[in-house]
Amino acid sequence: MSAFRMLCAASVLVSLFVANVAVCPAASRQKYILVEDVDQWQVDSYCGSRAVRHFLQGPKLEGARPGIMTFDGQGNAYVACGTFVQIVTRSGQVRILAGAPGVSGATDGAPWQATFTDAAVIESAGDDTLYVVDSGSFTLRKIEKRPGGQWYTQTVAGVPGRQGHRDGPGKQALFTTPFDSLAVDEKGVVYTLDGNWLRKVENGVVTTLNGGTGRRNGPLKQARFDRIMGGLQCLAYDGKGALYVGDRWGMAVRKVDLKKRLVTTVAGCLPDAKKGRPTDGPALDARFHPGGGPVAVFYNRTYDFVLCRSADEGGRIRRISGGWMKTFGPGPGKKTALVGPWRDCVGGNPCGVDAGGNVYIRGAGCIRVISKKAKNR
Amino acid sequence: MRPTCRVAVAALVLLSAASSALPGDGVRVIAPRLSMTEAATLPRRPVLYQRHPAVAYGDGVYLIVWQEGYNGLGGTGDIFGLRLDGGGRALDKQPIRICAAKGIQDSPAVTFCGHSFLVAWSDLRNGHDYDVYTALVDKEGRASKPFLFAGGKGGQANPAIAFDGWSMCLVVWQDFRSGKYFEVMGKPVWSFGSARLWKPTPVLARGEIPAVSWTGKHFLVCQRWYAALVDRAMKVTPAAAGKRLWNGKTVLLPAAAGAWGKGFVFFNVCPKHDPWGWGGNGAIIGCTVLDNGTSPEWGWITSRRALSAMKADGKIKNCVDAARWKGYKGWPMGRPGGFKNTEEGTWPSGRVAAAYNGRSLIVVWNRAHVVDKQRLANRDLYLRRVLDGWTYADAKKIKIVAGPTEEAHPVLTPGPPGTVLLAYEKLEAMGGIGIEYRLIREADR
Repeated sequence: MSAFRMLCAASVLVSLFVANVAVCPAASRQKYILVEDVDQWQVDSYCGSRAVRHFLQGPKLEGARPGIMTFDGQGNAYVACGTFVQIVTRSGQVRILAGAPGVSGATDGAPWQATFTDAAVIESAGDDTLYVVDSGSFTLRKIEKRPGGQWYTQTVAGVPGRQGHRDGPGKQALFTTPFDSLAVDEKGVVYTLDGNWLRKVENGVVTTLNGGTGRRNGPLKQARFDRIMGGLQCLAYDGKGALYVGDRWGMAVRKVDLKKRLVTTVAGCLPDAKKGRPTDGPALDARFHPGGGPVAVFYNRTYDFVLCRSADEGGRIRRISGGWMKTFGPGPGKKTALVGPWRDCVGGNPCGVDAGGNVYIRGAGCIRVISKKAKNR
Repeated sequence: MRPTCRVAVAALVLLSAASSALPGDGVRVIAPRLSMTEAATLPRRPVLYQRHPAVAYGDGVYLIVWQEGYNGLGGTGDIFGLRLDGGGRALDKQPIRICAAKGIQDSPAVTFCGHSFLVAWSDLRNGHDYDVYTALVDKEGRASKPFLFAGGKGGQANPAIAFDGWSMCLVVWQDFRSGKYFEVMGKPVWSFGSARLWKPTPVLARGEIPAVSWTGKHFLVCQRWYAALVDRAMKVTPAAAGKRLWNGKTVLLPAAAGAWGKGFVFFNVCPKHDPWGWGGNGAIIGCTVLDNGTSPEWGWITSRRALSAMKADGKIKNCVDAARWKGYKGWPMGRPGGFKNTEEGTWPSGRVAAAYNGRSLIVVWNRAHVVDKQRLANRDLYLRRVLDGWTYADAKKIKIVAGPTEEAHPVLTPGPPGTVLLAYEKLEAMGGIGIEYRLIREADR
């Protein structure tokens, strides 16, 4: 009798499961949807080498270090490398621009005087100005090219070595940890993320824009983010008045409309939605890995999409555009190639997008560039 | 000039002279039988960017060489030297200009080669990639004309040199001739011969920023986990049968030293903490390399768990120093909240230096202050004396140099019996990096 009961119970369970699968839209959804134009993208080495571990000046494929990068209008790239900033020149040479490899500090001045504790992210504001978040000293630094060609570093906001949360004139303002994201708009206004605070630095004054820690959309003043230990560069400016924030524990990419002063979710979980397995699809149904959401966010202004990478999803990069989140690449299966068709290459962590729409990824000790094949442009 | 101006100028001259004088008269006892002089600075220029010190001793004279001037974009680093007598007093009023060619020269190395000092450095004068250049500096402080020592396809950089005490120096460097990766190459220089007769010999298949020392019978060359012995005929024997000397995840630049007829390699493992608490503890590990290439310590520490055991530096014999997690008595892997801090708020992180003073093996390394879960800053210098058989003259590590700014990249050279010269980079509070040096003397037991 008991065996018969167990059999009945098992059959009921199986039928329930089958019915559930049949009605659940998530189960029928494809896990990752590769973007339609994946075969038009090609990966090439940009700088550094998988086999080289230490920084060395010289040809860019020998000893350049990977990091978050930005570009000027002359074809030079600038990379934040911890205790120094390196320039990768148009001619393919790598040089120290400011700071000292292997020596950490927070001093300002000429290139030989400037030191960084942990230059984490860098953003260009015109050809001769760079902003750097020195996350180790809790300061925002500016590197400016002066007449004569020398690059001078100065602290714009924050007190070296002191963390906290205080608005006001730059030298009195305090930033907290992790201080790891940076965006600059066309007017030169700087936006940063420290902890879960979105801060604005305008005319040397630091202002907090949002409400702090939490998972709330709505008016910017009340909006909250949940991205502690978010990863480098979780903030991107689209050139059209909006910022995109990678909200790691909110498992979402959030959009900050600076004109309407409104925060919305553009991909991933709404603050009160259920998490789930990582999937692509309509952006608000799509999910990031439950181990952690976006840890790097960039905006490709040329092709008009948001790029992000989620923690615990390996080198997979997602693309958000037209209300959909899809996989930008690489394709499915195990990869070993560093260069070649993007579908067949090892993925990486996005670290920059240039004015030509080329996407740069770091990983394996080097930076690679993903570019659209010329004939398809 | 008005008299007040004259006085001011004279005072400035005196001040600058004083700042470049001998290691101060003050001698501090830092441990039983161990004393250290006050810091002395090298002569300084308006652009204070002195980096990569290297030191050597021979015939009663120390020679410090360093990179003078900025070596970044638009800069022109040069190679300078300064002689000191056995007591650490400067013998030169002005630094010796060893190489001030156009372009960048940096990362010098030096050794005494019987009659002169042999200096080698990385040279970017061609504006494209590094080559290794060398020059001789005699005991009177005269520098020979630099000559190209290793060049050609790919970059050649970061040389290191050791002398066998009799006739041969071995210069090793990292070489990108493969076009894919750096390997460590070596080339002998005979005290009374020419280096140009020899072709470079591959010493380690992969490697960057090598270190080299004479053990008594061989040259010990090391980089990261790997080491090799090179004899006078340039025969190469991989240490530990080509395996890693320590089975750890991350290793920073090692130091090589010879003592008691053996070779020693010291390295900094796990130089950064893991924010989630999954990584091993930062530690300074030493390994012996015997004449036959074996390493008795190989396999002593086979996992991060062993190293992360609380008080690893007391339990594991060849562990000179280890970080101790705050609040955890075991391996803190993945504990709630991840990394909290260490007991002392510091973490071993940076380059290691080692030298045998005839009594003990002096090991100097960096510990950095923990800023947060992911970052370290402001390194200080620590010392411990290692005795034969992995016993220690000092029960605990000794903090020897500390300050509000960073002291980093220590280098050591043995001098007269019981003495070593320590040099290191020091970040100045107002910007710029200078080099300081001190004599460390150990009295007879």
